[in-house]
Amino acid sequence: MIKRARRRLVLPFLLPTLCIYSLLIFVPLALTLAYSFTNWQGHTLARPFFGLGNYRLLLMDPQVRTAFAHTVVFAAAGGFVVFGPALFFSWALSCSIRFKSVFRYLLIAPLVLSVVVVGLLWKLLYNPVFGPFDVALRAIGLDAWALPWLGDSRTALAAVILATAWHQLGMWVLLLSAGLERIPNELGEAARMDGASEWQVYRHVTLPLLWGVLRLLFVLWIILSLQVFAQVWVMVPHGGAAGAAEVMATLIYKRAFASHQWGLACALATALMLVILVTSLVMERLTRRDTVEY
Amino acid sequence: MSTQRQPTFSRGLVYLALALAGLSTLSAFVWVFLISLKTTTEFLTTSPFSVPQAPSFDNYRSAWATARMGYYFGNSLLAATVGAGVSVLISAFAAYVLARVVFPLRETIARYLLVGYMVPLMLTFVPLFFMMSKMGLASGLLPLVLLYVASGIPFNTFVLRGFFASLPGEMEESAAIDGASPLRTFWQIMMPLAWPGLVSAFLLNFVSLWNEFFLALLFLQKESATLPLGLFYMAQRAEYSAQWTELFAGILLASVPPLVIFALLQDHITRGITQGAVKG
Repeated sequence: MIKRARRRLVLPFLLPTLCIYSLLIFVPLALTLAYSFTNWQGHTLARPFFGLGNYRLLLMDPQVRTAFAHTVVFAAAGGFVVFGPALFFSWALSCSIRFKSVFRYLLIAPLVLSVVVVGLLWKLLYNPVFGPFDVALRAIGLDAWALPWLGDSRTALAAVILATAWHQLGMWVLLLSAGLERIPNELGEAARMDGASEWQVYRHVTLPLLWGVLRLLFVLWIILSLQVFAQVWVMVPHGGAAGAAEVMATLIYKRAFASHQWGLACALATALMLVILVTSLVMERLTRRDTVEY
Repeated sequence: MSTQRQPTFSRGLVYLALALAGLSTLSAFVWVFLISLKTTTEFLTTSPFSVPQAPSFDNYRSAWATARMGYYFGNSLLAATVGAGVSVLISAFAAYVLARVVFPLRETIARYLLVGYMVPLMLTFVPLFFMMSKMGLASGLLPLVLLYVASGIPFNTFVLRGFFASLPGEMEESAAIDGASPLRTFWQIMMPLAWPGLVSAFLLNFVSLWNEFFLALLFLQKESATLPLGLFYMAQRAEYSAQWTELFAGILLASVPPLVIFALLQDHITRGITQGAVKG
């Protein structure tokens, strides 16, 4: 009786969410797939069927190849630059230390800053005229090293990766800390009792117990980093003059709004979606270990 | 996990690393602050590390009023509050029935809503932009807020469903037995019980919408920008007009409110983040 009465809520309660979600999330997703098979130029309404033509085009396009390579570098190198320090600092914050809340705040607070704020802050830090990095390099006589970090095609992508890592560090420290908190203290204590060093405890006790969380975060990082857009757009407008920091998302945006190749942009987006899906599944497989129960 | 009785060496290393990381963050902001107090002339003629000769808050005034940051601030506040509020509210309705009422297709709908968690608007923007233009919503805060509401749905329903499912059922049952209608039971019993989860979800949505850039770039003109977009255009202007000091002030104006709010509501916000990823 009660259950049946409650069931009357189902439709009105689901309807707003389902309508908005379907219209603005699901339909555009389905249409992106559909339009990727058309030769749709933005300013016309005609969407002539183009088969796999867009996919053939994008496989041959050297700009796509460059953007894809940069995206992979961003995800892989960024992964190391983010997770290495994040693992260290989440461990450091789990130690019993003084001023823990101050350190914790300073480390994780940047996560509430906008990508634009952080991108601009670093753009100023990298500035070849007044940026502290280059001013300091010139002051110690290394003038040849005082590069325009974001303007030089050899360093632009690396500079964006470093700034992103600084911004993202707090987020991953926070997530890893949440994982560490769930690990019971006694196991590490027991190992320490038996004479294990801090590093041994971490390597053989903490890390295996953290693995379940860690691999989940790897997959999350892959999903987020392969679609990187704003960091690049803010720090290296339009991906740089010679595409020095062009990534997939900036290329898709330019194909859609600069050259009005909407069909091609949809194909690129679909391809990137597939890459994200496949990579995260592969990551999930590769990182599978026998789960440790505790 | 806390580790006790550590050797002094590794303890020293921990303090050193934490202090270095904290200091580098702090010093970047101190640098920005010092320059924001200079005039353009002083900035261009003196060392970028010098202390301002005649500190003044003129840059803040001109960033807030002339560069219209105050207006962008209001737009961001409106878009993020309404977007986060509506998204969490309607997601809570859906999450409640998905968690606590048995009906056909329940799991299918839950899985359907989760698809959007994997596929961001970043990758479906071409048809999205086209559809919105067709509906006459190609530009302005209304389409932006609608998209903000939609973009939060997958995460919110997922997290709140877990939250509603974890609540004890006794109070709900006894209210129903006492004759309260299902709607009243929901509003007066379940929503208050779910309050901590709703607050965390709202704050997390708010922070990410406050910082949102891509959709704002897509749907807003320069004149009606939100704070991140307005700052982006301000930086473009600074490169041409060399009004750097105003930009330094703008960066601080945009970062201080979220940093202060985070200091006050740290626990709520971090709970929102971790319950979605690690504990979800």
